[in-house]
Amino acid sequence: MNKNLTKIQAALADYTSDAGEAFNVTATEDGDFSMLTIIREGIEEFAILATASESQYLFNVALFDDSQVVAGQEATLNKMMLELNMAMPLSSFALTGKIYSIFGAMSTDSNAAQIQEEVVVLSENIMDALEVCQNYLTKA
Amino acid sequence: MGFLNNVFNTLKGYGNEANDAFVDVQGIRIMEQEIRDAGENQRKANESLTDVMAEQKSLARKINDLKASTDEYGEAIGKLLESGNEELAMETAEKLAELETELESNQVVLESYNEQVKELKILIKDSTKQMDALRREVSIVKSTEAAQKASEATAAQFSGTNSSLRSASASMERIKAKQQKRKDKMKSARELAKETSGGDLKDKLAEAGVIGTKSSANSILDRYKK
Repeated sequence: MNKNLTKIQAALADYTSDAGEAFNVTATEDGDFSMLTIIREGIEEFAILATASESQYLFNVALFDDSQVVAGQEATLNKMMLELNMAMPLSSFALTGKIYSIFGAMSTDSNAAQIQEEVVVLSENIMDALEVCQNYLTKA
Repeated sequence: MGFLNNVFNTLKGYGNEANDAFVDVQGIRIMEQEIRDAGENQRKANESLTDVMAEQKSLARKINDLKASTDEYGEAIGKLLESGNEELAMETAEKLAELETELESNQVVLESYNEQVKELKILIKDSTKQMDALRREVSIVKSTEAAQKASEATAAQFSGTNSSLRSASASMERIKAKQQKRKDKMKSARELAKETSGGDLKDKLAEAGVIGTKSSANSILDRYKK
């Protein structure tokens, strides 16, 4: 396991947010690639995926893929995300391949309290981000 | 070209025909190749930097020496003219002219070295940034893939489907419903708690003799004394 990821695991083990939410953390390893799946109680469908390089932690939550965007609304959705990026606390919208996500990045020098804050805020942003995108998504 | 431009071109480059930015195994392979290439470029740039900096240093030393010499000859010319030795002064001036020309041309070369050092340092920094950006991209792609594989296995648990591409709208509605249910549950638990603890209802019932009196140290002692 990447030693920087171990730091995240330690920060979230036995941690409960002020609002009383706990986080379930699972490690995955595949060759030299390792990541953590962080799941907040109550929103199991949207896992936070944590990866680490030498200098940075990345916390990423896949929201939906481009096939779920209403045809013809892609440009409007993308523009809205860019416009809202600065307003979203600690997180930003991103598009990787065809997956839309929100993510937060931080230095691997960050301490446990900062890691906890990052994860809590990102998890709080998930539903807000989905809500604002809802009008551009196809209904199930 | 700046590092972001390079990254963007790489990302564009791995798109396949059917889907113009589809991340797949091939895409990751291309990105990993780009990372290696950037690493190789950086290694070369580092080597060049070491070479240029060595040249730069030795040239700077040479220029210092030349400056010292020109100062010395300049002083000598002054003294020779004072003592009226014009012939030697002329000879020295010729030497000085030669040195000054050399000094000037060396300074031009030194400036170009300084520029090269600056450029190489920017290049090295840019390739580091590019490698980091691509590594981040690769890890996002890999982690998303790994998570999708994992959720394929557990998708049924949440959505009743086996689709790895769950619908965000549906998931959101489910979560909202769950959250509402939790809120309702907490609300009714609160109400229930209020009712049962209900403003000293127990006390009133005890007073009315419906339930037993509260135990006290005295009553316990009484029990043992019997």
